[in-house]
Amino acid sequence: MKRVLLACGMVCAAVLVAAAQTGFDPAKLVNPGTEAWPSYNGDYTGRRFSTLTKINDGNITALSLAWVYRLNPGAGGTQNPGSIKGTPLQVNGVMYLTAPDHVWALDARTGREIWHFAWQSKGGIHIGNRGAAILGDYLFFETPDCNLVSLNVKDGRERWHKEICDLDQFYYGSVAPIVIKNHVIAGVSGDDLDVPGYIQSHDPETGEMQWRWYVVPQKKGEPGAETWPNEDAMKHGGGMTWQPVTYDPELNQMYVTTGNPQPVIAHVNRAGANLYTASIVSLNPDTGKMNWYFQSSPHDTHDWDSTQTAVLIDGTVNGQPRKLVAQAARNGHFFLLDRTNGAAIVSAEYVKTNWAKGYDEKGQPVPNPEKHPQIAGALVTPNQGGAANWPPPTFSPQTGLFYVNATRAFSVYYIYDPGENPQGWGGTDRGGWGEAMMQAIDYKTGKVKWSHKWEGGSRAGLLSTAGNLVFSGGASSDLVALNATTGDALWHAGLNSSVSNGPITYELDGLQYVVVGAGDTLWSFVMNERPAARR
Amino acid sequence: MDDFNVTLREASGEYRTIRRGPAVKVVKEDPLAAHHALLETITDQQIHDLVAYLETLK
Repeated sequence: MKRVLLACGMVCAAVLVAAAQTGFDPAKLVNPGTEAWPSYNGDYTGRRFSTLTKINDGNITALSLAWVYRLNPGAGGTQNPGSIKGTPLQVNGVMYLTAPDHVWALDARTGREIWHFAWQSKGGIHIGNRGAAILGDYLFFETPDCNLVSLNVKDGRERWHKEICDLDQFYYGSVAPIVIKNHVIAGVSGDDLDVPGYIQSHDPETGEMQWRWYVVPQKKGEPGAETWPNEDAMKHGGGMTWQPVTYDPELNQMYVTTGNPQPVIAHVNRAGANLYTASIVSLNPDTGKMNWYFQSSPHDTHDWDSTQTAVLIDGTVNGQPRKLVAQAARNGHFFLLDRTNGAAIVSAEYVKTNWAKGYDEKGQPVPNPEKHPQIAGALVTPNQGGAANWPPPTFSPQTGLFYVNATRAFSVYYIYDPGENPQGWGGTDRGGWGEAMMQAIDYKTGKVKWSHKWEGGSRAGLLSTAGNLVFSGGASSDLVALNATTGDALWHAGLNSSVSNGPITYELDGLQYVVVGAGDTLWSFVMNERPAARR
Repeated sequence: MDDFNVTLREASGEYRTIRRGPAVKVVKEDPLAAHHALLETITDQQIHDLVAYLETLK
């Protein structure tokens, strides 16, 4: 019996190691198939849509628990790794999960830990980590103390690390890098000091920086400088690149979404549109040169970054096939653009707002000056948290609907630094009533086809599938599946905490899994039964 | 309350959860509904005046 157990142990270990030692074919980053989830959004499009149908609207009630993994910082772990705010990767049966300063490799079939890497931190803001990137046998992730780190997927050993920002200026690393060809694209975080946002590219082999693109101009004469009053304002103008980029390989354009300008609330010393903050920007990933921009929130004064995912849609407009990009922005407006040149096709509210007077000739909202923050206060909707925030939306080509968890909330915005040269925030908002719902938006018109209210709120990320399902966190610390066509609630499972990331799905051994993070725990569900006939 | 269950704590202190279904009708009465509706119409000047008045009550 002992020998049998020993033999089994050796076989199991061999299988485990084989799974962990297999890298990821870089060519599959463009078309990853259904057996992998190899990047933050699953593929370059940002759609978070899976063609898998083994879990569908006809059999979802048979979905069952496969395994649970609770974040384990290890025996030497000195810091609580916090919540799972990142999207795990799944490649060749191995899942790569992150939290600030931590990476775990897990067996995607069982949830067993294969290896764990802990970064010895020098500090930084540990608010969350959005995930890792993979290329071949290499893994990449950011740390709160401003490093881009590469690990070997075989054993989690460090290959190299490179400083990507200045910890002393209160930058930090939280963004999930994205691999595009021989570039590791890394954004930066931080909005406590008035420092410029940027995004940069690194060589996957050596870690050396290839280029850096500043969101805000750094000197007079640069593109966008005309939208700032002076060089000092633009050099301290913010615009962090909080979120992973999306990418069109055919156009070789990557779509960067940028943060709000600084100072955040008090704004008298940054008159102008403040380009290229709060924008969707198309860059060439080989050079970092800008192709075009669209500013979702010109001269923002409400902390509404526009870093919500720029989702690529290959659709039709007026009967013509078009390459499109869509965003449900934090300011409450939905935009549909031609992604070849940034021209707006649709601009529309996806929740009712009160801060804009309409749209300009480019389709960009025109702020109402009366709804800028005031010393005596201005009632504004959405509130500072926004109509949407960082949790990712999803788009289903099957239904033609863009799904986003939205909040309609009011707050009063105040200025508390009325001077001529405010810094930092210089104001704030005080919140009031709000309500949360999932909005299903017809991408061609921007109109909300259906709205599913969350009693008690939800800000979870989303996943849609060809099984006519949308997965989301619900209002009761649960994972919920809605009918993607109608918004009807079909199934839920109670978790130990609210969903804190975006769910993913993949197929292994003929079984479809759905995996979601809730607080410090990763939950894996699987459909064990044969696919049922669709209703 | 969510899409699947309604939980009540009655005046007696009793705690009950009712599973929602076709036979269960749920009517939610929000005593603050009129306040929420006011958010659509109240002006900033009215808010400033209200706050100024409340300050006089100290």
